[in-house]
Amino acid sequence: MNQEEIKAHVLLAKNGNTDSFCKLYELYYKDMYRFAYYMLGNQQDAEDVLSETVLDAFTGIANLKHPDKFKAWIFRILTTKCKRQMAVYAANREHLHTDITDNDLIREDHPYADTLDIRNAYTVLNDTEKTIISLIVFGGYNSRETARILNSTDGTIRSTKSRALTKMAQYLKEDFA
Amino acid sequence: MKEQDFLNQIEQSANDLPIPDSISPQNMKNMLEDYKHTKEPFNEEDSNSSNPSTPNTSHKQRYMKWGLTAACLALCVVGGVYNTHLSKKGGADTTSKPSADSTALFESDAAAAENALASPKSYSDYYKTIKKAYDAYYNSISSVVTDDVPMTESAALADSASMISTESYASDATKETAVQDLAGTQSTNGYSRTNTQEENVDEGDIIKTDGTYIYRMSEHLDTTDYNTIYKLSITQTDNGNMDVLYNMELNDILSVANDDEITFQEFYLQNNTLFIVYTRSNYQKDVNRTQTYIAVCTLKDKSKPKLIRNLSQSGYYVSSRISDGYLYTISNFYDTSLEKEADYENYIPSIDGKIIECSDLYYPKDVILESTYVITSLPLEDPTRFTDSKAFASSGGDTYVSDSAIYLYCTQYNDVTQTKISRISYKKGALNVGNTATVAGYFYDSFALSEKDGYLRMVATIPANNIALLRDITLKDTASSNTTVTEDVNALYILDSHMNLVSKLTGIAPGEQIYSARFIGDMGYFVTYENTDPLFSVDLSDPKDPKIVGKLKIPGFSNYLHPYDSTTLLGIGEETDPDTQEFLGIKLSMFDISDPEHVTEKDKYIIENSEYSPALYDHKAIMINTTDNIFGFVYTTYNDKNYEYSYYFATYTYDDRTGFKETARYKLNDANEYDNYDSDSVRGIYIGDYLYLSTNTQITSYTLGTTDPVATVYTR
Repeated sequence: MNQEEIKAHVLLAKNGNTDSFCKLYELYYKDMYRFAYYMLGNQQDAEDVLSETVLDAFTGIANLKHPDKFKAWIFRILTTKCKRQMAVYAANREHLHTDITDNDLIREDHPYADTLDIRNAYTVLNDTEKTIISLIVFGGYNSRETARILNSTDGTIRSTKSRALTKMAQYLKEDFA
Repeated sequence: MKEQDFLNQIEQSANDLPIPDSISPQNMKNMLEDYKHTKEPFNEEDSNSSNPSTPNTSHKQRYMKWGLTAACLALCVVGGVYNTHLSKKGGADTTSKPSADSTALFESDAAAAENALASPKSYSDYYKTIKKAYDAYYNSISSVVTDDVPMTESAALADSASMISTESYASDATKETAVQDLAGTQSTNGYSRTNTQEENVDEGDIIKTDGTYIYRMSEHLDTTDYNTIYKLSITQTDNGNMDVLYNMELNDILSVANDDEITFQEFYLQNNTLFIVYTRSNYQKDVNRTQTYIAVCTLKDKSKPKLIRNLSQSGYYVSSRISDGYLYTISNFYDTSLEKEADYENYIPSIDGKIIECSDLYYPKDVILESTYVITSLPLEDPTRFTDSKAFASSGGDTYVSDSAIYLYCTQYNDVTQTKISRISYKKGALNVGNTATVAGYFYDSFALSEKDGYLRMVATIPANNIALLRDITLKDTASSNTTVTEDVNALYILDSHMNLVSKLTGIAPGEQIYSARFIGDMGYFVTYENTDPLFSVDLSDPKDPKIVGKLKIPGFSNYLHPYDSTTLLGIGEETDPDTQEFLGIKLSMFDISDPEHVTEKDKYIIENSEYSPALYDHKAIMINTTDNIFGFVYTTYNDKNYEYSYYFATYTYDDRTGFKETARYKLNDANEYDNYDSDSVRGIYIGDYLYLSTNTQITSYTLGTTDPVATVYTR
């Protein structure tokens, strides 16, 4: 779908057309799900925030002024929802019992050992670090755009990103030492 | 391996993640259809009215304050490729090991002329130079990049003239004393100021006080359209009592239309005038034109701040400082198009609506028009026009500003991590673009740099073949068996004002990274960490011969160092178990630096159950005044006995004999309430004997050292 088609579908969606809305959603939903899953570490909650995001985006799309910014807009809604859910975790400490850390798989036996390691390494990040890395990786944003979404500065995002990646690398190193 | 490759690994790790059917587009469509039918009849003409979360009263329709254009994305892709390209070209010296090999660590030992920036003779000369570099660059990568970078039509810049009030800026200093000095008449205390890196160089923030009034910029999320609303409040204080004189949206004071997309950055308070730095984007044909603005507002009437000037410069905001009576603002201009030579504004930055003078343009020898830095100086006494402005082509990065020069540094994560540092000296508003140097490694933050007597002292960490190879994720599937996992290493560099290397120390603390640094006069202190925290002291009194004179090993590490008095250094960091590296809490350390060769930790204080504090990463989140012997910051705690999650602001004092003492602790949330989750926006300031704690929605005052609130005002 090119930029013109996206704009056309946004205009239709603004008028309540669910078909058009879902065509737009189809473009991004896999990355949105991965984003939510890596942020929350939990399939059920990731599904829930995606549903909430879709509902909010659909009912709020009338407010979207720049049709060409649909993706950034829906990712911002998703980010807000995920951060709220993470705040609930922080309050209830549910994140200690996520799918990611609960996996009892023996690394050597699992064909995806590496990818599971990386997902495990994600758990050493704090909420801010998770958000930044997830936006960069799954949202496809650079540090400047991430700074805008999070109302932060370019420099802060870049140093947080470096710190987060260093933490993950450290975790992976220690895990296999 | 590059940082980008590690990010790619993370992305790939998500590929085998099953996507649940429940969120498929078809199922979402069903959900939305159900939603439409269960709600009141859906009116296709006005979808707003059927939306329970969009009350009719809220008709604020704003432009999005985020997002990206196709052009941005394309540039982002290109940026990655560009790095690869460079590293291949420069393979010979960039792949050398970051060990004791001295020449590879510093690229410009050569004569000063080698690293000087050139200035074009004419705009046409500039165009030809950058066009040639641009074409050469795109030709070289055309086999990699499939999408063409959109070359857009000229997008006219916003006409800033329409927003400028014509009223002249009259001096108001004499009329302005009537309402001063209400606060703190009994107090021996002063009031707190923004915690800055350099004593004489002011930094912008979200809160400022002049000792009577509190100026605060708050941020609110509009949940109907997910836009951010910025509000400026002015609160009069009188011994803990408060009166909100002004609390309005930033758009109102700037008199910009609600549809305009503005993002507040930070502000300054000087000469009874606010200098509000913000950015504004406008979208034309998919080109995002971001401009940085400085709004000058007089405060003659505190209940009615008045915009008297609105100055602009091209590009997104990088940083700013006030020094020497001038506001220096740095932005980065990046959306360039070289389609037509005559369309100057598409590739030459503008200052206050006019393209910059040709003689103020600079570019390096190996110019790649990735982006252009724009630096301006604005006199505080007469802020009607910029005194000077310069622009030069470079990649985007961070800033350190000493009391005589602006340093722009940008790190390139290629096969070997390198940082390029450019020096722009300033004096009474006049800017002078100097030389550029390249060193191996990256800086933890701007505290890793310090200038004294024309010498730039820096500590950098040089990553081992870059981070991801620490665990060698890709070794399995690549034939890089000769790649060994080497260790991180740290270095100290001293450059002169021509950016020539004067001396260096390398091979410091192998296997560790720098976590914090502070330079105090002729001494430098920095912290590296692996299992314990070595606090290094370096004697820099002879720039040609710096010496590491001391090394103190203690558990944990400091993220922030602050000179407390002439013989002590405060560290704020984390306590860790030396054996397991388990995080044990936020730690305050007081180091005795009276004998640099034998630095000792005089006292330490671990905050019980503490987990996180913005103070660890943002020095402006710390309220500190060493003269009044008081400091404080916000932190979060988790109590695993009663499972309670809280956040607190606490104030501390330090006594030579009795050590650290928590003087008061303020709980900022109700039990497990997490709505005010954004601890980064909390600021504590004090005026006289009163502490004012400010969040995005309220300010509460207390007598210092006590926890009973005196008053609360709301700034929602």
